[in-house]
Amino acid sequence: MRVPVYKIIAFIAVLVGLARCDADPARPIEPVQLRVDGKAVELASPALYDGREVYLPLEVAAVLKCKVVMPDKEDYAIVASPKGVRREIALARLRRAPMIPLSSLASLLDVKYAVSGGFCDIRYPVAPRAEPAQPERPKSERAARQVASTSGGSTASRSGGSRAASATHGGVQPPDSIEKDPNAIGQLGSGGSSRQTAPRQGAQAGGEQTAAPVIAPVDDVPPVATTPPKTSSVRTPSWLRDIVCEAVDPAQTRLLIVADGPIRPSVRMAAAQGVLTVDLPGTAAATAQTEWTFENPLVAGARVEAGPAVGVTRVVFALRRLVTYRDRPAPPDGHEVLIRLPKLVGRRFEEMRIMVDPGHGGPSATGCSAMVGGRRIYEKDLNLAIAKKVVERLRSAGLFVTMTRATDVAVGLSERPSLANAMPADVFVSIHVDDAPGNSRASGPTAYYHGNDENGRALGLSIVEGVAAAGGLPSRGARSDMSRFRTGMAVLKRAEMPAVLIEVAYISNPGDRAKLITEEFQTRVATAIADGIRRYVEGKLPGGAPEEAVGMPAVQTPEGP
Amino acid sequence: MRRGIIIVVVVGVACAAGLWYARSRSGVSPAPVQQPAPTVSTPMHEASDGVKVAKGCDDLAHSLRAAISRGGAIPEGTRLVSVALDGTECVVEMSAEFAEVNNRGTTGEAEAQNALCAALAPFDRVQTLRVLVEGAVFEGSHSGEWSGVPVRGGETQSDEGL
Repeated sequence: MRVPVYKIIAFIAVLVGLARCDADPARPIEPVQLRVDGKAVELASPALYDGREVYLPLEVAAVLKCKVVMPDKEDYAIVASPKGVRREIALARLRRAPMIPLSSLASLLDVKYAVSGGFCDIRYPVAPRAEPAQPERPKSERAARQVASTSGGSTASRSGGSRAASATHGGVQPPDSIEKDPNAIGQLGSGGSSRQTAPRQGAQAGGEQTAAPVIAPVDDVPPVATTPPKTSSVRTPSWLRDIVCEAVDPAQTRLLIVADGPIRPSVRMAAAQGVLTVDLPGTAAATAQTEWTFENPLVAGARVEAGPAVGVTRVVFALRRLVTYRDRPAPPDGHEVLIRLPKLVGRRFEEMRIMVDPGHGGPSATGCSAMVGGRRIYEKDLNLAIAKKVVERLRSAGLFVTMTRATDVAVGLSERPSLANAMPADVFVSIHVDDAPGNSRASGPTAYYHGNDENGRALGLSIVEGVAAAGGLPSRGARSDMSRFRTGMAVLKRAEMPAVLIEVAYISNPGDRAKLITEEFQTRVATAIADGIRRYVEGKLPGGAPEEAVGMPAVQTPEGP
Repeated sequence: MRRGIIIVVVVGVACAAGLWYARSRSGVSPAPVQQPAPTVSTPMHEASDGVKVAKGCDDLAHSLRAAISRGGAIPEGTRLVSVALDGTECVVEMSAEFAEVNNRGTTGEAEAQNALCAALAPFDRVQTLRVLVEGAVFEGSHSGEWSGVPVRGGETQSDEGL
């Protein structure tokens, strides 16, 4: 057979043409000039735009004042905003260089951007204050500057000009009743009786204070503050004005805390008690109403009460269902908590596919250990014993369950979530026992979820509170793995489904250890873990939820992330 | 026969070239970030205690020695082998005893990491930490590889109030 050369060349040309089609010629990648608040930014490698997304070189982090850390062998980076908020951002690879998608970065930094005419404009909601380059100063001088500024400064820069004005507490003379008695904030917070005497913070801020800087210019700072000004020990409170509950849809509800003045809430959920608490430091209640009842599928009601410390007002929401939550500021001065049913609600529990991961394993990865009755017990064996019981319970309920290891073998850290991803599992639960060397008081179960994963948090809370109750141990709550390790936990960050690492107890605590080695404790913990998964999937609170706001359960401060 | 083989080879090469070209032009294919080299080729001198310290890293070594000698978080018997800087990453090599961290539970492992980060946090030129044990990047049994670990600015919590 004779094939003419021109036919071979034509064939190759077609192949190359097809390959170029695969490269998506409809999305040509073009360099764009980056501008931040109207000022052109020169980068060593250009920003690229593919028609849908702008990709920035990693060096842009310095321009936007963020920090970027790239873990090894990963296709993502951990980016920390100037405010300290950290997020994992998937990187793209363009022209052989890792680049950050601007949409992800904009969401982290809370900036807006637009692309047109070869320019990409990034705009901050409020123009960032240009802090003059300042030489290193003695600590006392820095302290003096802090006195001149206020703790509300960081919030102010986040939320706009009007708030920046209202946050200048250092320059505001609060009413005498508050200035002289720091406890006054707490007293106001405990009831609404002092509402009439409470001045409107916003009204103050809207007056002559608008021009006051949040941070005093360095040159204006007194050289040494030997005696702090009187106002330095007193914060003018913000005022809680209202609680609003809006059902977005049957599976989603928006809770809005309306306030005058900046608030920095701390939101936590106690699944066992069926409540979501919002603590508002430096905030006093200024509402005649202290209890609300809602006709809402997720929230039964709310109550305002004195918080756990002086100057803290607490809002307690009674939940009807186990929910996930995330919160964010709601301009101008409110705070929004968006609660949702867990992502698996709506599917039958029996249809779930679960991956159970007994931690450690193999001759070298024993995990922690302790001597009991002359015999050394290893974490890897305890993990496996409990995991097998969890699997037994889930399988008896008809679920498809797999283990990362069923015997004492070594399994790699990255292999464990990969097995779950390949399954693909709906839920990943890694079972461990903790150890606090030199601290025999540490006790109780802890659940870890990755980063800010709200589904992982809800799953963790559902499991950890059940384990604590079943084992008769104090719950240490559900915590972000980033609160433990700066780069998170290896098995959690690679899992693509709601994932939890549960530390069932402390082997270093004599009481916990005595329980851990008993068959009965292991069985109860395993049952609690299986029940916790079921509750999460079904969106149910343990023991049901209060139907009315009045008579809500007393709230212990739950462990939080 | 020979011509057929040539055609197959040519077509194969063309396919490979086409695929390579497509991948090199592709817009958003995720790619692994290059792993940092496990060792740093910086001139080192040996300190009196045998620790190899890269030029300009004596202050880092001093702070790390203090953290190790403090004990508690760092396993007993652990020795500092070398200290160097790779850009803004401090590369710390520990003796094999450090691997005992992996038998200490999540809490023990986190305390060890926090102790090293705290030792390096005061130095502005250090942004991240890499720990080597016997020449390889140390892999924590919970946290994974200790490379690119930010030394400050984290939200890590100690076990206060246990």
